[in-house]
Amino acid sequence: MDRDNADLDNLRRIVRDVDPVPDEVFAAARAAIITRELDAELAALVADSTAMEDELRFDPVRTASTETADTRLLSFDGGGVRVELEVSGQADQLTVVGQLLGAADRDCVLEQADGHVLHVELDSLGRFLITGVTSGPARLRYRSESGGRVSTPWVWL
Amino acid sequence: MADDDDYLGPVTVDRLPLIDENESSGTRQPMKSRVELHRRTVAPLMMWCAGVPRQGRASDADRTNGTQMDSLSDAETGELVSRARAGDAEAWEKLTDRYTGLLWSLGRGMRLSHTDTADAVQTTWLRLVEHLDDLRNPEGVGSWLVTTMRRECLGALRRSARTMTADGLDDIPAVGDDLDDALLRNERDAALWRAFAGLQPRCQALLRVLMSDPPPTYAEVSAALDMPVGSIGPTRQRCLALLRDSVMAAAYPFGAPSPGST
Repeated sequence: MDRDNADLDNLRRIVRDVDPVPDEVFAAARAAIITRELDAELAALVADSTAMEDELRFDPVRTASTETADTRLLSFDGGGVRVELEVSGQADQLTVVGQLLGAADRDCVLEQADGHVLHVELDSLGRFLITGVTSGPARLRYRSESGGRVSTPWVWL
Repeated sequence: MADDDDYLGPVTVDRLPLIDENESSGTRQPMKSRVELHRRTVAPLMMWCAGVPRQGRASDADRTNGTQMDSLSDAETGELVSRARAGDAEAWEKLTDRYTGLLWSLGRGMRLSHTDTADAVQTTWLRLVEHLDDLRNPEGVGSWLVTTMRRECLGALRRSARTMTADGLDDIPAVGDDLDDALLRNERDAALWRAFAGLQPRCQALLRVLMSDPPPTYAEVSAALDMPVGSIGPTRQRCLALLRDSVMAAAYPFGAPSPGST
């Protein structure tokens, strides 16, 4: 057991040299608190065509048809707003098509974890199209028709 | 957003770095409230990422001297969560200092690249911020974090599997590949690290997590690797025995050296 501890101590010392946690990773962890929203309701991810969890998957018919098209479907619900998203394209040139049902037509933004914030213009039916989106953690923030602020959880686009 | 200002501490908005509006790619749509959003979201993020001094964390000098950060008790961890909820920036920093190393180890142990691990760690912290107020068991925040990180890592692995070329699984880099063992001046260290990189994935993942600084609790290890607490000790023992066998086998690949061989 002592030998085990000594080996583990050696490995811990070595890994500190060969694979230290980059300072940016610590900095990003600290900066995460800035994204805290005290007055926004968090919508729930209710369906994701690429989810591992069975309860989040769309029904088989829809999944089969989307997998061939290489389009990811996401649904969120909460705060009186239903959000449907379709994400397609390559890593740094994603196209996001979506519809917000029950949302106000103002103050809708797509926020990315790298700090980019994109204003999202909704049409009269609550639909929008964004092109050239970089893949990575992102979330939508919007208002319900009654004015309450809502946010989706972070999802990897 | 008054609370965010608290987190920024003594830094005033006037001192935030200016953002070049032309930097954004042309595909991004114009935005009415761009300046306001930059001030609120982008500028603070960039400032933080540019490296605000981190008083709470053990300095690199401490680390190379072999000093380990102290583990926190469950009660202390729960207390940090309560304080962070109330807007205490120092408590949040202590939490991130306590667990970022463990999350990093888990991602690297699950054979994610540097970039993917960094992204998964960031996403995990963003999720904690999202759920800071509805965390049911603040004292178990470590287990919550590693469970979330594990899920993010599995997601990243599936994404890279989808975009992988015909070469398939061989493309996944082994954890040792990008680690330069020339960095290891000591030949015994280099041999030990090579042997570690050759261990089966499950052993690598477990040992990487156990090596993290400060050391995790068994409850956290169990949540990180989705294995029962009772099997951690025996698996640890078996993996370290395999490691020693491998070091020996590498030193004497054809058995004991015979006289006359060059």
